[in-house]
Amino acid sequence: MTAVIHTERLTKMYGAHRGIVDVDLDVEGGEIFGFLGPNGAGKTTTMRILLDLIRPTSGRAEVFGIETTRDPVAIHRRVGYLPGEFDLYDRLTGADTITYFANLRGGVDPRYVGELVERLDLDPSRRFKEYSKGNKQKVGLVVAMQHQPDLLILDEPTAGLDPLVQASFYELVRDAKANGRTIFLSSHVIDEVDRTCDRVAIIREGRLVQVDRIETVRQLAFHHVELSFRQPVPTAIFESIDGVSAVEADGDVVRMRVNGPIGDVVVLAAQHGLVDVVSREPNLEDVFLAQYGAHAPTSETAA
Amino acid sequence: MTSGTVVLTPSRPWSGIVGLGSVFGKTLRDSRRAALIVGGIAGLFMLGTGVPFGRAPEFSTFELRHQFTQAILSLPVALRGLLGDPIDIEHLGGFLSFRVGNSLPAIFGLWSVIALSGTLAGEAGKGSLDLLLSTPQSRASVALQKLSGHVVALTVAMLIFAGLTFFVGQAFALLPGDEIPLSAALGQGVLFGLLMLASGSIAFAAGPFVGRNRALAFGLISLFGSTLINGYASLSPLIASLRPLSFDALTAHHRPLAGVTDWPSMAILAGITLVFFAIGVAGFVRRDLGEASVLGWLRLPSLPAGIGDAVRRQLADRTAEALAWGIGIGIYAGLVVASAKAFAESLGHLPQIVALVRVIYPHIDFGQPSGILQLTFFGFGSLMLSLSGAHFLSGWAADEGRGRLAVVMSAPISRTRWMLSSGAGVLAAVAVATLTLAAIVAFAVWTQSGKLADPVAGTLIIGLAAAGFTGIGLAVGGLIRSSLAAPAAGFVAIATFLLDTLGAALKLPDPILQLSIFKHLGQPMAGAYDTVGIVAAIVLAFGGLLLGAWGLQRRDLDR
Repeated sequence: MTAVIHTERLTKMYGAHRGIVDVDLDVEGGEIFGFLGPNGAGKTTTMRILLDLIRPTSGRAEVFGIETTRDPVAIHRRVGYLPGEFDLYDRLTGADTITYFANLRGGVDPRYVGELVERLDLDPSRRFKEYSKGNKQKVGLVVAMQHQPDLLILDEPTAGLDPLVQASFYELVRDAKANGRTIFLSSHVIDEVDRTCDRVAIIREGRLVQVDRIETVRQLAFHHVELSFRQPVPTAIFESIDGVSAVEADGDVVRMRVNGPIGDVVVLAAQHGLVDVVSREPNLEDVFLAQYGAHAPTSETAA
Repeated sequence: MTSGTVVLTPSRPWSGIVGLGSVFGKTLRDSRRAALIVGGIAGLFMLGTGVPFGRAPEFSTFELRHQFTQAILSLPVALRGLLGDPIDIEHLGGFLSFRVGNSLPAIFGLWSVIALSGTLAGEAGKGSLDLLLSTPQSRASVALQKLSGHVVALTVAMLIFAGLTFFVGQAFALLPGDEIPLSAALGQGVLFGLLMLASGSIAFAAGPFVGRNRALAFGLISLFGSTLINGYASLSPLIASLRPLSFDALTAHHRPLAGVTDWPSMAILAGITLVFFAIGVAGFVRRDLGEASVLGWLRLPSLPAGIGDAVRRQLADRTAEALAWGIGIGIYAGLVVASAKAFAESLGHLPQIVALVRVIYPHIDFGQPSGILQLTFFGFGSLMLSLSGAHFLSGWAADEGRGRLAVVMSAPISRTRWMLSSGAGVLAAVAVATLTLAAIVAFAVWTQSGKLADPVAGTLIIGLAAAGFTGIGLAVGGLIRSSLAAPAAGFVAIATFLLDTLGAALKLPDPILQLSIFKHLGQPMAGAYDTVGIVAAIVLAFGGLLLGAWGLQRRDLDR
């Protein structure tokens, strides 16, 4: 596939402050790509460079094979963008706002706009300043999606949306993908990326630390294994197995983290009166937290 | 899937010109009210000045007008100050040009400066430009469309102004030559419009580099500095040396209403304006959006912390602005004081003028700076100080408008207490501006060896009047909506000023004229005080605050 977004050693400094550093990224056509990182990691900076709202300090970024600083208008024709923070025109209604941006773009299908408004459950008749945060976000989403762009760049798109509207949004994103469009979305909500995206990039302090398919990334995480026995067993017998760490005993229950297949663990446990095994699949959150040096919650603490 | 829901507003043929069809159209759509107001009020100034000239017996013959001209010419240039050069003031057009030609561009130039400082930098700050620039519009196109939208709106305003000026010339011409040709009215509109745009262009050029607030400050300095330098250049070699920087000085000999034109100076000013516009567009195209780090260190001092309570929070946020207002108005007062000696000397040669002024100001000692301040500073200075209160109220209202008040109200503090505290903070900001002004006035008077007590006390009294207007804003903000506080205070202050300056000429009934609080303050800069106005100002200030607190207790927040 052709890379819709391509960056090479992309760096942005704000004076002495770090924005992003040496970011190399490729987003393929037709995929949903998640950009994951905590506040201030550099997600918005990367997106604003892609739209030529800010310029790189060094390195380069291309969208649709066009360098962002060379012909941003050509890029914008094919892009829909939702900023992370925005405030539109107080005195315009939602419909006026959507119309204004439709006019600036041209070629917007009114029926599709109506469909978007219905699916996002937006009342377009109210003035923008009267909208709640979630409804403002809906207006932003309609503005970003109404022209059915080839590439959607969405900065924390579900912020402020209620769960029902979030579900509608995920549906819209999946529909866009089904129609061959590319979605590049940032989030610090790990579950959102985990459920929606094909591939994910994790950015930490301005540098990309991981880029891979969601399933592959998950495999890099530990399984959390909980073994129940008839009576307490010494933890030391498991600590010698390759890939096992953080072994803890709590009465006749032993918990551990296992990197890789858990077969050896189960075989050994069966020899010591194993009653039950609970193994929680690793998820993106485990990977993310591991990248940030935090411990992934166990099944108990997570509950 | 298709939908029957109709969202998009049908496009009309004129949407791209005035409407939501383009960035230009939206800019013009957003500016239409301002254009009507500026054009209308500027025209009213011409009406209010032209009607008495065409009707009053003092100007009914050329002989009387000639006497008036001689009296004006005998006054020192410094005293004429903002009035400008008396060119052909024996005719209606020349008189209008002389009377309001210098001050109108300064007053209405505020529109251009405010609009052009915010059209790019302000919207970038809000984040809406991010969305706008994600559409297939180049930055240069967006900047030029916004710019041209303002220029067209300003052109509309000046056409209204020119139309009303032409009407004044036709309807109130008394003597031969009083008629104002349409070309002269249009020419004066072009002059005013270009002067307004010139200062606006500085704000526009600065915006992408220094952000909205500093760009606004640069534009205002240019606007008022240019006017004051031109008006008071004869006071000192220092001010005279600044004349090349003054747009007003550059075009001082272009007075179409007086039948005098200097189009080359207009061409130069247009060229300068275009250069600044080009700098603004280039800065916007080349720089990161919303990145305005240049001169980030340049700021007026503000109170540290300001986190003790709502009073200190408001005051901390407003101190720098209050100092700026105080210093700005103070510079004007200082220039007036500096002309005091020249004024006193000239009066010694003009017994007939002394007799005339004595009728209006029987107790004023024109040998003192305080007398000059009362005569030439009191009206406009009072208006400016009152507008500072409206400005502080707009910052105060942002607490509710931007949702901060809801967070504050989640703390164990009653609405009444918050309103009283934050309102007191706004009034304290007015006090800071007033004290700053008083300090500058005192210094200026001291340098002229004048008596300090009267002008300082007078400054404090006009500060009380400003607090009174601010109190009206607080009442409206508390009772109805905080976003209405600043417009309400500003409207009442400007309406009062217009009532004072135009009311008599328009022959308004005396009970209406007496509504102006400025009529009831005495002649405070010169030491004559009227307790009615002083008490009224205090009642308005604190009564408004209490009324606002009562109102806030009863209405929904975040309206």
